[in-house]
Amino acid sequence: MDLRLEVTEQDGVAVLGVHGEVDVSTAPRLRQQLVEMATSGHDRVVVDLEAVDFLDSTGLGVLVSGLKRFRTVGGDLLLVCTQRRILKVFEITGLTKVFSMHDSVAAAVAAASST
Amino acid sequence: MTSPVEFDVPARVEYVGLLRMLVSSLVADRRRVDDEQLDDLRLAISEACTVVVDNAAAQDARLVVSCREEPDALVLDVHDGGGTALPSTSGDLGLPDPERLDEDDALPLELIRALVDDVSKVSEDGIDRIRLRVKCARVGAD
Repeated sequence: MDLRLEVTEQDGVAVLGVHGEVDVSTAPRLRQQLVEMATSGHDRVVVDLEAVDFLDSTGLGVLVSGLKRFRTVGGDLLLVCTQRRILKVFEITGLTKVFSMHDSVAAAVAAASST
Repeated sequence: MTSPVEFDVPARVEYVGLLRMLVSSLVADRRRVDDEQLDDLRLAISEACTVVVDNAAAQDARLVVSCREEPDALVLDVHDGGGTALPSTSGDLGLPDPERLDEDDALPLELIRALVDDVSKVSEDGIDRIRLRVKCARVGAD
């Protein structure tokens, strides 16, 4: 029941690795991290959800808020997500149509670099 | 789990994960559910607990989850012990347009609806409860 966040960079694109559970208790830390990345000059961010064990609507809300923040300045927030249990949450809410979703960090970074 | 089991913790966000784990462990032990059903239940319980915590009015409010078994279903009530009016679970809530979704949009109830067989708001003994019903057989049932 913990959340670990790890920021790396690949080909000039910031990659935020999310590990653990994102719920009403831990989502504020994810929100804060995304805000810090936006205010520190990153305009394209890849959020890697492959190590996420649990994601609820609070976590979704934070990701949507982050997406809007980056797109407002002409950037983007791209997701890496292949886990069925996590993908299902995006599918139920229709958010697969809103986010740019990818099977790997490399694919997401390539997509971020091409825009 | 032939008699109801009740978990009662402070209505604070840091306890939602604990309840999610306790309830899903109990269900996995007592009911015949596959991994996807269990994942759905974990999320539904978490969403219901989030609604209760978000709406808890009193400083000393509780977060209570009671689990009751029926032959072909599990019934889970989530409430704060009284004093809080919970949002309605009826009507055409629908999911917000994802393109217009805001962080503050209330998704939990809509998500719960998609994850369990039935969700309703029930008022009993002056307490508003979110009631979830999940169809599943008992372990050992034919």
